[in-house]
Amino acid sequence: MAEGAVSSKRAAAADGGDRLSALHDDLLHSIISFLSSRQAVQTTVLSRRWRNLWRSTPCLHIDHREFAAKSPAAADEQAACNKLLRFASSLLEAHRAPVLESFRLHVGAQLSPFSVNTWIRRGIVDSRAAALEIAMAPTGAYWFAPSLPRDAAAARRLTTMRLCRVRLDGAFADQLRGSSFPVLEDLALARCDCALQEMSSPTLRSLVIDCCQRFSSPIVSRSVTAPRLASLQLVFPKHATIQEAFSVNGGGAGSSRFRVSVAPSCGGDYFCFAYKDMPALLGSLRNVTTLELWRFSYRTVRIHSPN
Amino acid sequence: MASAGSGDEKAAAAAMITLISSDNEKFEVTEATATLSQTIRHMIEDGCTDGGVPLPNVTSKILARVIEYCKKHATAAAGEEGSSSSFSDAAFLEVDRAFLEELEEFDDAFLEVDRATLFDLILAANYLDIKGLLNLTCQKVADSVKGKTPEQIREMYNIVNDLTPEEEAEIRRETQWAFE
Repeated sequence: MAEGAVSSKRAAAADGGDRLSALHDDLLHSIISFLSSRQAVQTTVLSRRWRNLWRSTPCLHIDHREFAAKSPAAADEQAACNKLLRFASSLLEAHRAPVLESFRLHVGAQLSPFSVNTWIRRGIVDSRAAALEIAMAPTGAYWFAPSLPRDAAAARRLTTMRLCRVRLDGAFADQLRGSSFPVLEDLALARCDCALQEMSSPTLRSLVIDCCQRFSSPIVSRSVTAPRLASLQLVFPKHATIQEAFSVNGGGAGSSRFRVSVAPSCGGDYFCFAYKDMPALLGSLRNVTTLELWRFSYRTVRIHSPN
Repeated sequence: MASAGSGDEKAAAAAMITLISSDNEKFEVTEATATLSQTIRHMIEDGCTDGGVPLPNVTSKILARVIEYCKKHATAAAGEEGSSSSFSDAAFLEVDRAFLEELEEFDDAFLEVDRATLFDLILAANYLDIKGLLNLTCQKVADSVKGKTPEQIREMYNIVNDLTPEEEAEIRRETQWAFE
Protein backbone atom coordinates (compact mmCIF):
# COMPACT_ATOMS: atom_id res chain seq x y z
CA MET A 1 0.00 0.00 0.00
CA ALA A 2 2.64 2.50 1.14
CA GLU A 3 4.97 1.32 -1.60
CA GLY A 4 2.21 1.75 -4.19
CA ALA A 5 1.59 5.30 -3.02
CA VAL A 6 5.28 6.16 -3.29
CA SER A 7 5.63 4.73 -6.78
CA SER A 8 2.49 6.48 -8.03
CA LYS A 9 3.78 9.75 -6.60
CA ARG A 10 7.06 9.23 -8.38
CA ALA A 11 5.23 8.52 -11.63
CA ALA A 12 3.18 11.66 -11.09
CA ALA A 13 6.28 13.77 -10.61
CA ALA A 14 7.88 12.34 -13.73
CA ASP A 15 4.83 13.15 -15.81
CA GLY A 16 4.25 16.63 -14.46
CA GLY A 17 1.90 15.57 -11.67
CA ASP A 18 -1.87 15.41 -11.64
CA ARG A 19 -2.62 18.16 -14.10
CA LEU A 20 -6.21 17.01 -14.49
CA SER A 21 -7.19 17.57 -10.85
CA ALA A 22 -5.25 20.85 -10.90
CA LEU A 23 -7.70 22.38 -13.39
CA HIS A 24 -10.19 24.71 -11.78
CA ASP A 25 -13.78 23.63 -11.22
CA ASP A 26 -15.23 25.24 -14.36
CA LEU A 27 -12.85 23.32 -16.59
CA LEU A 28 -13.48 20.05 -14.78
CA HIS A 29 -17.21 20.70 -15.17
CA SER A 30 -16.66 21.14 -18.90
CA ILE A 31 -14.83 17.84 -19.08
CA ILE A 32 -17.41 16.00 -16.96
CA SER A 33 -20.22 17.41 -19.11
CA PHE A 34 -18.95 15.28 -22.01
CA LEU A 35 -19.45 12.12 -19.97
CA SER A 36 -22.70 10.27 -19.49
CA SER A 37 -24.12 10.98 -16.07
CA ARG A 38 -23.37 7.45 -14.93
CA GLN A 39 -19.68 7.95 -15.60
CA ALA A 40 -19.80 11.46 -14.24
CA VAL A 41 -21.07 10.16 -10.92
CA GLN A 42 -18.38 7.48 -10.85
CA THR A 43 -15.68 10.18 -10.75
CA THR A 44 -16.80 10.80 -7.17
CA VAL A 45 -14.39 8.13 -5.85
CA LEU A 46 -11.29 9.33 -7.69
CA SER A 47 -10.10 11.51 -4.82
CA ARG A 48 -11.30 14.14 -2.38
CA ARG A 49 -10.99 16.79 -5.10
CA TRP A 50 -13.51 14.92 -7.25
CA ARG A 51 -15.99 13.98 -4.59
CA ASN A 52 -18.67 16.59 -5.36
CA LEU A 53 -17.68 17.86 -8.80
CA TRP A 54 -20.32 15.80 -10.61
CA ARG A 55 -23.06 17.24 -8.42
CA SER A 56 -22.39 20.79 -9.61
CA THR A 57 -21.79 19.96 -13.29
CA PRO A 58 -24.61 21.74 -15.14
CA CYS A 59 -25.25 18.90 -17.59
CA LEU A 60 -27.12 15.64 -17.24
CA HIS A 61 -27.11 12.78 -19.69
CA ILE A 62 -29.19 9.72 -18.86
CA ASP A 63 -28.42 6.96 -21.34
CA HIS A 64 -30.33 3.67 -21.27
CA ARG A 65 -27.57 1.94 -23.22
CA GLU A 66 -25.50 1.85 -20.05
CA PHE A 67 -28.16 -0.29 -18.43
CA ALA A 68 -28.48 -2.99 -21.05
CA ALA A 69 -30.08 -6.28 -20.04
CA LYS A 70 -27.73 -9.27 -19.73
CA SER A 71 -30.06 -11.28 -21.96
CA PRO A 72 -33.36 -10.70 -23.76
CA ALA A 73 -35.12 -12.76 -21.08
CA ALA A 74 -38.00 -10.87 -19.50
CA ALA A 75 -36.50 -11.07 -16.00
CA ASP A 76 -33.19 -9.55 -17.18
CA GLU A 77 -34.98 -6.82 -19.12
CA GLN A 78 -36.95 -5.96 -16.00
CA ALA A 79 -33.82 -5.92 -13.84
CA ALA A 80 -32.06 -3.59 -16.29
CA CYS A 81 -35.08 -1.32 -16.41
CA ASN A 82 -35.21 -1.15 -12.62
CA LYS A 83 -31.54 -0.24 -12.48
CA LEU A 84 -32.10 2.59 -14.92
CA LEU A 85 -35.09 3.87 -12.96
CA ARG A 86 -33.15 3.72 -9.70
CA PHE A 87 -30.21 5.46 -11.34
CA ALA A 88 -32.29 8.29 -12.79
CA SER A 89 -34.25 9.01 -9.64
CA SER A 90 -31.12 8.89 -7.44
CA LEU A 91 -29.25 11.11 -9.90
CA LEU A 92 -31.96 13.75 -10.08
CA GLU A 93 -32.30 13.63 -6.30
CA ALA A 94 -28.58 14.04 -5.56
CA HIS A 95 -27.62 16.46 -8.34
CA ARG A 96 -27.11 20.00 -7.09
CA ALA A 97 -26.44 22.35 -10.01
CA PRO A 98 -28.87 25.28 -9.72
CA VAL A 99 -29.51 25.34 -13.48
CA LEU A 100 -28.74 22.96 -16.32
CA GLU A 101 -27.01 23.91 -19.54
CA SER A 102 -28.02 20.66 -21.14
CA PHE A 103 -30.33 17.80 -20.32
CA ARG A 104 -30.11 14.73 -22.50
CA LEU A 105 -32.26 11.64 -22.35
CA HIS A 106 -31.48 8.59 -24.42
CA VAL A 107 -34.17 6.12 -23.54
CA GLY A 108 -35.57 2.83 -24.73
CA ALA A 109 -39.07 1.46 -25.05
CA GLN A 110 -38.94 -0.39 -21.74
CA LEU A 111 -39.75 2.77 -19.80
CA SER A 112 -43.16 4.18 -19.07
CA PRO A 113 -43.97 7.55 -20.63
CA PHE A 114 -44.80 8.66 -17.10
CA SER A 115 -41.20 8.14 -15.93
CA VAL A 116 -39.69 9.91 -18.90
CA ASN A 117 -42.10 12.81 -18.63
CA THR A 118 -41.29 13.13 -14.92
CA TRP A 119 -37.59 13.47 -15.80
CA ILE A 120 -38.34 16.03 -18.51
CA ARG A 121 -40.31 18.07 -16.00
CA ARG A 122 -37.45 17.88 -13.58
CA GLY A 123 -34.97 19.00 -16.23
CA ILE A 124 -36.96 21.85 -17.69
CA VAL A 125 -39.17 23.13 -14.91
CA ASP A 126 -36.99 22.52 -11.86
CA SER A 127 -33.54 22.91 -13.38
CA ARG A 128 -34.40 25.36 -16.18
CA ALA A 129 -32.40 23.50 -18.82
CA ALA A 130 -31.07 25.64 -21.66
CA ALA A 131 -30.88 22.66 -24.01
CA LEU A 132 -33.05 19.57 -24.10
CA GLU A 133 -32.40 16.45 -26.10
CA ILE A 134 -34.71 13.45 -26.14
CA ALA A 135 -33.65 10.52 -28.28
CA MET A 136 -35.63 7.29 -28.33
CA ALA A 137 -34.01 3.96 -29.15
CA PRO A 138 -34.57 2.76 -32.74
CA THR A 139 -36.59 -0.25 -31.61
CA GLY A 140 -40.09 0.55 -30.52
CA ALA A 141 -39.73 4.15 -31.62
CA TYR A 142 -42.54 6.65 -31.99
CA TRP A 143 -44.48 5.42 -28.99
CA PHE A 144 -43.45 8.34 -26.88
CA ALA A 145 -45.01 11.77 -27.13
CA PRO A 146 -43.06 14.01 -24.76
CA SER A 147 -45.12 16.11 -22.42
CA LEU A 148 -43.40 19.46 -22.57
CA PRO A 149 -44.31 22.24 -20.16
CA ARG A 150 -46.94 24.68 -21.42
CA ASP A 151 -46.11 27.50 -19.11
CA ALA A 152 -43.67 30.01 -20.59
CA ALA A 153 -42.02 30.56 -17.20
CA ALA A 154 -41.03 26.89 -17.08
CA ALA A 155 -39.07 27.01 -20.34
CA ARG A 156 -37.67 30.49 -19.92
CA ARG A 157 -34.07 29.35 -20.49
CA LEU A 158 -34.79 26.72 -23.14
CA THR A 159 -33.01 27.83 -26.32
CA THR A 160 -32.24 24.48 -27.93
CA MET A 161 -34.34 21.39 -28.40
CA ARG A 162 -33.45 18.18 -30.23
CA LEU A 163 -36.00 15.42 -30.52
CA CYS A 164 -35.30 12.08 -32.10
CA ARG A 165 -37.87 9.34 -32.83
CA VAL A 166 -40.63 10.81 -30.74
CA ARG A 167 -44.23 11.47 -31.69
CA LEU A 168 -45.27 15.06 -32.13
CA ASP A 169 -48.84 16.15 -32.57
CA GLY A 170 -50.98 19.23 -32.76
CA ALA A 171 -50.35 20.00 -29.09
CA PHE A 172 -46.66 20.46 -29.85
CA ALA A 173 -47.51 22.72 -32.79
CA ASP A 174 -49.72 24.78 -30.49
CA GLN A 175 -46.91 25.12 -27.96
CA LEU A 176 -44.47 26.14 -30.66
CA ARG A 177 -46.83 28.73 -32.05
CA GLY A 178 -47.89 30.03 -28.67
CA SER A 179 -45.76 31.28 -25.83
CA SER A 180 -44.65 27.99 -24.26
CA PHE A 181 -41.07 28.35 -25.49
CA PRO A 182 -40.29 32.06 -25.22
CA VAL A 183 -36.59 31.84 -26.15
CA LEU A 184 -36.40 28.69 -28.29
CA GLU A 185 -34.04 29.39 -31.21
CA ASP A 186 -32.68 26.05 -32.30
CA LEU A 187 -34.99 23.10 -32.99
CA ALA A 188 -33.96 19.80 -34.55
CA LEU A 189 -36.39 17.00 -35.26
CA ALA A 190 -34.89 13.75 -36.45
CA ARG A 191 -36.87 10.71 -37.53
CA CYS A 192 -39.90 11.95 -35.65
CA ASP A 193 -43.48 11.06 -36.30
CA CYS A 194 -44.72 14.55 -37.00
CA ALA A 195 -48.46 14.62 -37.07
CA LEU A 196 -48.30 18.37 -37.61
CA GLN A 197 -49.65 20.25 -40.56
CA GLU A 198 -48.20 23.54 -39.67
CA MET A 199 -45.15 24.50 -37.73
CA SER A 200 -44.88 28.10 -36.85
CA SER A 201 -42.72 29.83 -34.32
CA PRO A 202 -42.05 33.49 -33.56
CA THR A 203 -38.61 32.74 -32.07
CA LEU A 204 -36.88 29.98 -34.08
CA ARG A 205 -33.63 30.88 -35.86
CA SER A 206 -32.53 27.42 -36.86
CA LEU A 207 -34.69 24.45 -37.77
CA VAL A 208 -33.72 20.95 -38.84
CA ILE A 209 -36.30 18.46 -40.05
CA ASP A 210 -34.44 15.24 -40.70
CA CYS A 211 -36.36 12.29 -42.12
CA CYS A 212 -39.55 13.02 -40.25
CA GLN A 213 -42.66 11.32 -41.49
CA ARG A 214 -46.23 11.29 -40.63
CA PHE A 215 -47.12 7.76 -39.67
CA SER A 216 -50.43 8.20 -38.00
CA SER A 217 -52.61 9.65 -40.73
CA PRO A 218 -52.39 10.99 -44.28
CA ILE A 219 -50.91 14.37 -44.87
CA VAL A 220 -52.75 17.23 -46.38
CA SER A 221 -49.91 19.69 -46.70
CA ARG A 222 -47.14 20.86 -44.47
CA SER A 223 -45.77 24.27 -43.88
CA VAL A 224 -43.13 25.99 -41.83
CA THR A 225 -43.60 29.62 -40.86
CA ALA A 226 -40.92 31.32 -38.79
CA PRO A 227 -40.15 34.98 -39.41
CA ARG A 228 -36.78 34.94 -37.62
CA LEU A 229 -35.53 31.77 -39.29
CA ALA A 230 -31.98 32.08 -40.63
CA SER A 231 -31.32 28.43 -41.35
CA LEU A 232 -33.54 25.55 -42.37
CA GLN A 233 -32.25 22.07 -43.13
CA LEU A 234 -34.61 19.55 -44.63
CA VAL A 235 -33.67 15.93 -45.10
CA PHE A 236 -36.36 13.94 -46.85
CA PRO A 237 -36.93 10.25 -46.14
CA LYS A 238 -35.65 7.89 -48.76
CA HIS A 239 -38.97 7.15 -50.33
CA ALA A 240 -40.51 10.54 -49.86
CA THR A 241 -43.43 11.34 -52.06
CA ILE A 242 -45.00 14.57 -53.03
CA GLN A 243 -47.05 14.21 -49.88
CA GLU A 244 -44.01 15.03 -47.80
CA ALA A 245 -43.76 18.42 -49.45
CA PHE A 246 -43.12 21.52 -47.45
CA SER A 247 -44.03 25.12 -47.90
CA VAL A 248 -41.60 27.42 -46.19
CA ASN A 249 -42.22 30.95 -45.05
CA GLY A 250 -39.20 32.24 -43.24
CA GLY A 251 -36.75 35.06 -43.15
CA GLY A 252 -38.37 38.33 -44.04
CA ALA A 253 -38.44 41.11 -41.55
CA GLY A 254 -36.87 39.19 -38.69
CA SER A 255 -33.66 38.00 -40.34
CA SER A 256 -31.60 39.32 -43.21
CA ARG A 257 -30.09 35.99 -44.25
CA PHE A 258 -32.08 32.84 -44.73
CA ARG A 259 -30.29 29.72 -45.83
CA VAL A 260 -32.17 26.57 -46.78
CA SER A 261 -30.47 23.21 -47.32
CA VAL A 262 -32.38 20.32 -48.79
CA ALA A 263 -31.19 16.76 -49.15
CA PRO A 264 -32.64 13.32 -49.53
CA SER A 265 -31.60 10.90 -46.81
CA CYS A 266 -28.26 9.39 -47.77
CA GLY A 267 -28.69 5.88 -46.39
CA GLY A 268 -25.76 4.79 -48.56
CA ASP A 269 -27.41 5.66 -51.85
CA TYR A 270 -27.10 8.70 -54.02
CA PHE A 271 -29.56 10.09 -56.48
CA CYS A 272 -32.67 8.75 -54.87
CA PHE A 273 -34.27 11.90 -56.16
CA ALA A 274 -34.21 13.43 -59.53
CA TYR A 275 -33.62 17.13 -59.66
CA LYS A 276 -37.01 17.63 -61.27
CA ASP A 277 -38.69 16.37 -58.10
CA MET A 278 -37.40 19.35 -56.19
CA PRO A 279 -40.18 21.78 -56.88
CA ALA A 280 -42.67 19.15 -55.79
CA LEU A 281 -40.88 18.47 -52.52
CA LEU A 282 -40.61 22.10 -51.70
CA GLY A 283 -44.03 23.54 -52.20
CA SER A 284 -42.89 27.11 -52.01
CA LEU A 285 -40.01 29.01 -50.56
CA ARG A 286 -40.33 32.60 -49.53
CA ASN A 287 -37.63 35.07 -48.55
CA VAL A 288 -34.85 32.52 -49.07
CA THR A 289 -31.41 34.06 -49.75
CA THR A 290 -29.41 30.83 -50.17
CA LEU A 291 -30.71 27.49 -51.31
CA GLU A 292 -28.50 24.41 -51.21
CA LEU A 293 -29.50 21.13 -52.75
CA TRP A 294 -27.50 18.11 -51.67
CA ARG A 295 -27.20 14.77 -53.38
CA PHE A 296 -29.60 15.71 -56.11
CA SER A 297 -26.69 15.54 -58.47
CA TYR A 298 -22.98 14.81 -58.40
CA ARG A 299 -22.37 17.90 -56.43
CA THR A 300 -24.23 20.24 -54.25
CA VAL A 301 -26.20 22.83 -56.07
CA ARG A 302 -26.07 26.20 -54.44
CA ILE A 303 -28.39 28.95 -55.53
CA HIS A 304 -28.10 32.48 -54.24
CA SER A 305 -30.94 34.85 -54.68
CA PRO A 306 -30.55 38.59 -54.30
CA ASN A 307 -33.87 38.40 -52.46
CA MET B 1 -16.19 38.98 -38.84
CA ALA B 2 -15.49 42.68 -39.49
CA SER B 3 -14.57 44.79 -36.49
CA ALA B 4 -17.34 46.85 -35.00
CA GLY B 5 -17.91 49.75 -37.40
CA SER B 6 -14.49 51.35 -37.20
CA GLY B 7 -14.68 52.79 -40.69
CA ASP B 8 -11.04 52.00 -41.47
CA GLU B 9 -10.03 52.50 -45.08
CA LYS B 10 -8.42 49.07 -44.94
CA ALA B 11 -10.79 46.18 -45.35
CA ALA B 12 -11.27 44.01 -42.29
CA ALA B 13 -9.82 41.04 -44.16
CA ALA B 14 -6.47 42.79 -44.47
CA ALA B 15 -6.26 43.88 -40.84
CA MET B 16 -3.40 42.08 -39.10
CA ILE B 17 -2.91 41.61 -35.38
CA THR B 18 0.39 40.78 -33.68
CA LEU B 19 0.23 38.27 -30.85
CA ILE B 20 3.19 38.04 -28.48
CA SER B 21 3.81 34.81 -26.58
CA SER B 22 5.16 34.56 -23.02
CA ASP B 23 8.65 33.87 -24.45
CA ASN B 24 8.41 37.01 -26.57
CA GLU B 25 7.80 35.43 -29.96
CA LYS B 26 5.64 37.47 -32.33
CA PHE B 27 2.87 35.99 -34.49
CA GLU B 28 1.09 37.96 -37.22
CA VAL B 29 -2.47 36.80 -37.78
CA THR B 30 -5.51 38.17 -39.55
CA GLU B 31 -8.19 39.76 -37.48
CA ALA B 32 -10.62 37.03 -38.55
CA THR B 33 -8.28 34.40 -37.09
CA ALA B 34 -7.53 36.35 -33.92
CA THR B 35 -11.15 37.12 -33.12
CA LEU B 36 -12.01 33.47 -32.67
CA SER B 37 -10.61 34.35 -29.26
CA GLN B 38 -13.22 36.36 -27.39
CA THR B 39 -10.46 37.75 -25.18
CA ILE B 40 -8.64 39.20 -28.19
CA ARG B 41 -11.92 40.29 -29.79
CA HIS B 42 -12.64 42.44 -26.73
CA MET B 43 -9.12 43.91 -26.85
CA ILE B 44 -9.63 44.84 -30.51
CA GLU B 45 -12.99 46.39 -29.71
CA ASP B 46 -11.38 48.40 -26.94
CA GLY B 47 -8.67 49.52 -29.36
CA CYS B 48 -5.78 48.21 -27.28
CA THR B 49 -3.96 46.06 -29.81
CA ASP B 50 -1.47 48.62 -31.14
CA GLY B 51 2.05 47.35 -30.67
CA GLY B 52 0.84 43.77 -30.35
CA VAL B 53 -1.18 41.74 -27.89
CA PRO B 54 0.95 40.28 -25.10
CA LEU B 55 -0.22 36.85 -23.98
CA PRO B 56 1.86 36.18 -20.86
CA ASN B 57 0.08 32.90 -20.13
CA VAL B 58 0.79 31.23 -23.47
CA THR B 59 4.13 29.89 -24.68
CA SER B 60 5.16 30.19 -28.34
CA LYS B 61 4.84 26.43 -28.76
CA ILE B 62 1.23 26.44 -27.63
CA LEU B 63 0.34 29.73 -29.29
CA ALA B 64 1.50 28.34 -32.64
CA ARG B 65 -0.88 25.40 -32.21
CA VAL B 66 -3.74 27.65 -31.12
CA ILE B 67 -3.24 29.86 -34.18
CA GLU B 68 -3.22 26.80 -36.41
CA TYR B 69 -6.61 25.85 -34.98
CA CYS B 70 -8.02 29.37 -35.30
CA LYS B 71 -6.88 29.74 -38.92
CA LYS B 72 -8.66 26.57 -39.95
CA HIS B 73 -11.82 27.34 -38.04
CA ALA B 74 -11.94 30.98 -39.09
CA THR B 75 -11.97 29.84 -42.72
CA ALA B 76 -14.76 27.41 -41.90
CA ALA B 77 -16.68 30.04 -39.94
CA ALA B 78 -16.58 32.46 -42.85
CA GLY B 79 -18.81 30.11 -44.83
CA GLU B 80 -20.81 28.76 -41.96
CA GLU B 81 -21.99 31.36 -39.52
CA GLY B 82 -23.76 30.53 -36.32
CA SER B 83 -25.35 27.09 -35.89
CA SER B 84 -23.33 26.35 -32.77
CA SER B 85 -24.70 23.32 -31.07
CA SER B 86 -24.73 22.26 -27.47
CA PHE B 87 -24.60 18.65 -28.52
CA SER B 88 -21.80 16.56 -29.83
CA ASP B 89 -24.11 14.18 -31.66
CA ALA B 90 -22.83 14.67 -35.19
CA ALA B 91 -25.03 11.84 -36.45
CA PHE B 92 -27.98 14.12 -35.92
CA LEU B 93 -27.53 15.98 -39.16
CA GLU B 94 -26.88 14.47 -42.50
CA VAL B 95 -26.80 17.62 -44.53
CA ASP B 96 -23.62 19.20 -43.31
CA ARG B 97 -21.73 15.95 -43.00
CA ALA B 98 -19.35 16.47 -45.89
CA PHE B 99 -18.46 19.92 -44.67
CA LEU B 100 -18.07 18.78 -41.09
CA GLU B 101 -16.06 15.71 -42.01
CA GLU B 102 -13.15 17.75 -43.29
CA LEU B 103 -13.14 19.90 -40.19
CA GLU B 104 -13.38 16.81 -37.99
CA GLU B 105 -10.40 15.27 -39.72
CA PHE B 106 -8.45 18.41 -39.01
CA ASP B 107 -9.55 18.40 -35.37
CA ASP B 108 -8.65 14.73 -34.92
CA ALA B 109 -5.18 15.29 -36.32
CA PHE B 110 -4.85 18.47 -34.26
CA LEU B 111 -5.54 16.53 -31.07
CA GLU B 112 -2.75 14.03 -31.69
CA VAL B 113 -0.63 15.55 -28.95
CA ASP B 114 0.89 14.37 -25.70
CA ARG B 115 -1.04 14.86 -22.50
CA ALA B 116 1.01 17.81 -21.27
CA THR B 117 0.32 19.69 -24.51
CA LEU B 118 -3.37 18.82 -24.25
CA PHE B 119 -3.57 20.43 -20.81
CA ASP B 120 -1.61 23.46 -22.05
CA LEU B 121 -4.14 23.79 -24.89
CA ILE B 122 -7.06 23.59 -22.45
CA LEU B 123 -5.56 26.37 -20.33
CA ALA B 124 -4.77 28.50 -23.39
CA ALA B 125 -8.26 27.99 -24.86
CA ASN B 126 -9.75 28.98 -21.53
CA TYR B 127 -7.55 32.05 -21.13
CA LEU B 128 -8.12 33.18 -24.71
CA ASP B 129 -11.81 32.22 -24.49
CA ILE B 130 -11.98 30.12 -27.65
CA LYS B 131 -15.11 28.07 -27.11
CA GLY B 132 -14.62 25.60 -29.94
CA LEU B 133 -11.06 24.75 -28.93
CA LEU B 134 -12.02 24.48 -25.28
CA ASN B 135 -14.84 22.06 -26.08
CA LEU B 136 -12.61 20.07 -28.38
CA THR B 137 -9.82 19.64 -25.85
CA CYS B 138 -12.15 19.00 -22.91
CA GLN B 139 -13.96 16.38 -24.94
CA LYS B 140 -10.64 14.73 -25.74
CA VAL B 141 -9.97 14.33 -22.03
CA ALA B 142 -13.52 13.07 -21.42
CA ASP B 143 -13.22 10.56 -24.26
CA SER B 144 -9.99 9.24 -22.81
CA VAL B 145 -11.72 8.25 -19.55
CA LYS B 146 -14.92 6.89 -21.11
CA GLY B 147 -15.53 3.29 -20.13
CA LYS B 148 -12.61 3.32 -17.69
CA THR B 149 -12.86 2.32 -14.04
CA PRO B 150 -11.93 4.86 -11.35
CA GLU B 151 -8.70 2.91 -10.76
CA GLN B 152 -7.76 3.13 -14.44
CA ILE B 153 -8.53 6.87 -14.53
CA ARG B 154 -6.36 7.49 -11.46
CA GLU B 155 -3.50 5.69 -13.12
CA MET B 156 -3.88 7.47 -16.47
CA TYR B 157 -3.85 10.94 -14.96
CA ASN B 158 -1.66 10.36 -11.87
CA ILE B 159 -4.54 11.12 -9.54
CA VAL B 160 -3.50 10.34 -5.99
CA ASN B 161 -6.36 8.82 -4.06
CA ASP B 162 -6.36 10.73 -0.79
CA LEU B 163 -9.56 9.12 0.47
CA THR B 164 -9.19 6.64 3.31
CA PRO B 165 -10.48 3.16 2.48
CA GLU B 166 -13.38 3.81 4.89
CA GLU B 167 -14.26 7.08 3.15
CA GLU B 168 -14.10 5.49 -0.26
CA ALA B 169 -16.30 2.61 0.87
CA GLU B 170 -18.83 5.08 2.23
CA ILE B 171 -18.90 7.15 -0.97
CA ARG B 172 -19.38 4.01 -3.02
CA ARG B 173 -22.28 3.03 -0.77
CA GLU B 174 -23.89 6.44 -1.20
CA THR B 175 -23.58 6.29 -4.98
CA GLN B 176 -24.06 2.55 -5.42
CA TRP B 177 -26.82 3.27 -7.98
CA ALA B 178 -24.16 4.55 -10.38
CA PHE B 179 -21.84 1.57 -10.00
CA GLU B 180 -24.26 -1.39 -10.24
